Amino acid sequence: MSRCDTKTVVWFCRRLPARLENLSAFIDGVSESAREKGVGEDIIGRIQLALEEALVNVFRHAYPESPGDVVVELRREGRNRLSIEITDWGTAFDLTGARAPDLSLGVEERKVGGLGIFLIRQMTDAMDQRRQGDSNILTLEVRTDGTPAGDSETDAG
Amino acid sequence: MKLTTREEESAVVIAVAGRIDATTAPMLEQCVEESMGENRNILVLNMAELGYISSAGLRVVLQAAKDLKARQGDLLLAGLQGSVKDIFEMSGFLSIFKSFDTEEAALEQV
Repeated sequence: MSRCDTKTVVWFCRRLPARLENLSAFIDGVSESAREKGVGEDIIGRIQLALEEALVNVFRHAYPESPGDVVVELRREGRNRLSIEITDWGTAFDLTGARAPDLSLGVEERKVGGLGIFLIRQMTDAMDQRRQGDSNILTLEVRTDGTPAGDSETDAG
Repeated sequence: MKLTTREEESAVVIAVAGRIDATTAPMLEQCVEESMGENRNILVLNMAELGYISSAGLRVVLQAAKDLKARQGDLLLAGLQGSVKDIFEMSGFLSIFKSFDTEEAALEQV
């Protein structure tokens, strides 16, 4: 493996107001960047879903009072991983502590909602959330070497 | 997202093509609300041409099913395939909804 194989390369980076109307700009931009680099459609589909769920969460919760921005960065990390970093400067929201929905309930009992974070976990291979200064940074990782996300036991939580 | 609504004798059929995301899900929600009525409480969602669904879309489908059940109606899924079917399955929706390979098969059941 050459030195280049292990380094981080930024494929996409964009800062926009954290509003639903900007969802498509982020999703399309990230998808096109990944597609140009030859990333498969199945991986792109997983990234789209994880990114949408993460962004919608920021749109809804990060800035309850005054509007603010969100930054999305797509990076290649070495040969087999992509990472998506979502940064906002709003209210911290603990995704990692969110409870998983009860998938065994019937139509009447099943709660509407609560699936977003569950889907992020299913679509990605790793998730990290941290507060740095006044920013919230959520990092999602997807492997591109054919390991399906959600299959390993560590992703079940 | 493209929505095509059709009224059959036994059910209302909405064919959903393209993507149901947080931006388009409210359109599906509105379409379901407008299409269903007093004597129209059976809905078949044909998703054969659907390429993407997020939790915003799943939420609309679940809410529609709850509303229809409350009126002694039902919601049937048809044509799920590929990654969309995977999302329904991992969300536990395939065990709570009746799902059929084709719209015709769904209509035969109502």
